[in-house]
Amino acid sequence: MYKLKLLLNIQHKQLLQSFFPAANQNNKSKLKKWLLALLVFLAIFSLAFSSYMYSSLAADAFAKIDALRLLPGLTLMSASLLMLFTTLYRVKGSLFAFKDYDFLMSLPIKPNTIALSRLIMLYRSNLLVSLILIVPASIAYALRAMPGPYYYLVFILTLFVLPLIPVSLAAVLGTLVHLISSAFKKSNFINIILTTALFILIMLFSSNTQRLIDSIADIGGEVMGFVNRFYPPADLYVKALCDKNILALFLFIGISLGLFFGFALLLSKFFRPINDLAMQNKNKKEYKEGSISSASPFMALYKREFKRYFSSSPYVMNTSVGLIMFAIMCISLLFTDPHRLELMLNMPGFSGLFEKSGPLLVSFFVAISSTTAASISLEGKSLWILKSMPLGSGLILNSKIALNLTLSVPISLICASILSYSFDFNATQSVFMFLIPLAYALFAALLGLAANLHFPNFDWKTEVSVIKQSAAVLITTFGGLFAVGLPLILTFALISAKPEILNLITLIAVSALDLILYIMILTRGGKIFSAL
Amino acid sequence: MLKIENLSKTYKNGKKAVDDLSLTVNAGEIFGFIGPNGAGKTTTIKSIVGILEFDAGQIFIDGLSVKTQPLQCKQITAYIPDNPDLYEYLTGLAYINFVADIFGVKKDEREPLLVKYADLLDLKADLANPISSYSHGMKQKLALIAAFIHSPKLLVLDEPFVGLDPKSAHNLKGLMRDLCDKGGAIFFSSHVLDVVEKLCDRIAIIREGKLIACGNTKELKGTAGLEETFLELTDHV
Repeated sequence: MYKLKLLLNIQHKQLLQSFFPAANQNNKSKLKKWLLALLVFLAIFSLAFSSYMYSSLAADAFAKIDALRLLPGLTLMSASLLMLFTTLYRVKGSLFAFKDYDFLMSLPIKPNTIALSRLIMLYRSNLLVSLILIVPASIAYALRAMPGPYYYLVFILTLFVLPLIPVSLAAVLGTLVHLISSAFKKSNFINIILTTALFILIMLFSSNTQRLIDSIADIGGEVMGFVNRFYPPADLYVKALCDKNILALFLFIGISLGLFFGFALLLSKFFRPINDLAMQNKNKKEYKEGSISSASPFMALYKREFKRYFSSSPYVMNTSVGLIMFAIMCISLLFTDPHRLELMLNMPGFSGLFEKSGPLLVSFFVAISSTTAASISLEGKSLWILKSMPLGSGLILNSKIALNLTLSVPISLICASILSYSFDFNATQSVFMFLIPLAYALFAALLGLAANLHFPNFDWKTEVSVIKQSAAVLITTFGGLFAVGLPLILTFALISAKPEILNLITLIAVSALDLILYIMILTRGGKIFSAL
Repeated sequence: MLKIENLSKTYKNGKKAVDDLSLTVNAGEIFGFIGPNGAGKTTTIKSIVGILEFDAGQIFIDGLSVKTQPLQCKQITAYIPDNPDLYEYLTGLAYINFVADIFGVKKDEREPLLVKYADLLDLKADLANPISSYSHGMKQKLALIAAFIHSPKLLVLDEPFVGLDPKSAHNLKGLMRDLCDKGGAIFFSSHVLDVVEKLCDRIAIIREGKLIACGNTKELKGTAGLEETFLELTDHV
C-alpha cells in the first residue's frame, strides 16, 4: 500500500510537471506560473459553466414534458461517453509503453502494484472530468427538482464511482487495440486506424442515441427505456438517485467497482506480458544498398515532422479526430439534402447555422487541431540534435507549421467545397468559406508554436502528458476556441449586421493576427528556441 | 581548429559552471578534456557546439566565431553527447539520411561513406530497423556514423566509448586518428583515463569551472601516470 502511494505521488508530480514544468524561480517564471494557474482555473470554470448552462436549457425543456428525471441519466451518459472517448487513446502510454517502465520494473515493487497505480491515475484524471461536468449539471437539476437530503447523499456517494465504468471500458478497448496493433509490423499505423474507427463508432453511436432520445422526448414516451438500452448503468443511477431505490444504488456501485477491479485483476496478471509484447521488434529488416535518398534541409525537417506525427497515435488522435469527424459529416452532405440531414441529426436550424456561420464552423474544427502546441516539447531529450545542426531556428519552426497546415488545409478546403456546393453559396460566401478557415488554420499552427515556445516541457515520461495535459495545449485549445467563439457570438448578437461584413472583419482580423504571430515567431520565437 | 578564449558561463541558479576558461586545440590533434563530475566539462562542450549560450568569452572553430557565425561553425562540427537520445521513430537509415540532408552531403557520396562506417562499427545489418529497437551501444554507433558521414573538421565527443563493444571501440580509435590525420581535430571528454592517456595528444584538466592543467600528454602524466596526476591535481589544487 505504501509503495502504491509512493507511485501515485510520483505520477501526480509528473502530471503537475506537465502543466507547470520546473523553471527558474525568477520573477518572469513566477508570473508565467501564475498566469498559467489563472488560465487553468478559467478553463475549468468555463467548462463547468458551459455544463451548467447546457444542462439548465435541457432541464427546462425536459420539465415542460414532465421528464426532468431524464437529465441525470443523460448527463451520466454524455459524461461517460466523453470519458471513454478521452481515455481510449491514453491507454497506450499510460498503462503500456510508458518511458519509465524499465526503471519501475527494476525496483522492488510488484508489477501488479505498478499496474494498479497506472489504472488509478487514469481513474483520478477522469474523476476531475466527472466533477467538472456532472456537478454543475446536477446543480441545474437540483434547482428545479428540489430533491430531499437523500438525493445529495446518494449523489456524493456515486460521484466517486461514476468514472469507473467508462475508465474500465476504455482500458479494455484500449488494451485490445494495443494488443491487435502490436501483432502488426506497422503497429503505430494500425493503432491509429483502429482507434479512429472506434472513435467514429462511438460518435455515430452517441449521435444516434441522442437523436432517438430527443425524438422520444418530443413525444414524451418511454425515455428511460432508450437510455437503459444504450447505457444500462444510467438507468440504475437514475433509479438510485431519483427513486430512492437502494437495490439500484448497490447494483450501480457493485457493477462499477466489479468492472474496475475485474479489469485491475486482469491487468495485474497480463501487465508484464503485454508490455513485453510492445517491446518486441517485429520490423527486423535487412538494409539494402541503393535505398538512400536525398532532400533539401527543409524537406528533411518536414519529412521528419511527418514521421514523428504518425509515430504517435495519441498525437494523431488528439489533433485530427475533430477534423476527420467534421470531414465525414461534410462528405455525408454530398449524399443527403442539408434539410434532410437536419431532420436526421434532429438539429433544427442546422442548415441555417451553416448558411450564416459556415466559415466559422469549419474554422472551429481547424482551430482546435493544432499539432504545433506539442511539437517542441515532443523533441524531448533529442532536442540536442536540432540544436547542434547548421539550421536556423526559422527553418525548424517553419517545418512544424508546415506539418500542421498539411493536415488542416486540405480537410478545410474539402469541407469548404462541399458546404459551398451543398448550401448553394454565392461567390462571396464561397470565397469566405475558403479563406476564413485557411486563416484560422495558420492561426492555430502559429498560436500552438508560440505557446509551446513559452511553455516547453522536455522531461516527460509519457507523450500523452505533453500532447494532452500540457500548458501549451491548454492555451492553444482555449485560444482557438476564443478566437472562433468571439466572431461567432458577434454573428448571432448583431442580427442586423450583414454576414458578409462580419466575415470580412473576421478574415482581416485573423489574417492580421497571423502576420503578427508569424513575425514574432520568426524573430523572438527564434531566439527563444535557440535558448531552450 | 578550436580556440576558446576566456569562456565563462553562469547558470540562472547562480552556479558558475565555467570560469574564464581558455584553451586551443590544433588541427591534427586529439584533445582530451577531463575533470571530476560537475567540473564544467559538459557546459564547455555544449557551448562549443552551439547548444548553450555563454555569458562571456569567445569560441572560434576554424577561425569562425560560435557567437556570430553559429551556422557556419555547426556546418563543420559534429557532436555526440554522453547519452545519445536519437529519434526513436526513425530507422537508423532514415536518421543518417536526415543528418546527411541537413549537412548537405551529396547523394552519391552518402552510400559509400555509410557502408564504410556501418561496416567498421558493425551496424549495417540493423540500419533498416527502427532506432527504438536499438540497444544503447547501437545508438552510440549510429550517432558516430551520423557524426562521421558529413566529414566534420571538428569532432566533439562526450564519453564516446560508453556502450561500445571492444571491436567497435578499437575501430573508433582508428577513425578518430584518420580524421586528425586528414587535418581535423577531436575534442573529447571521458572519465576513462586509460583511453585518454593512450589516445590523446594533449589533455586539459578542469575543476570547478577552471582550467587547472593543460599540456602535452607525456608532460602532463609525468612518471606517475595520468590517473595519479589527475587525482593529485583535482584533490589538492
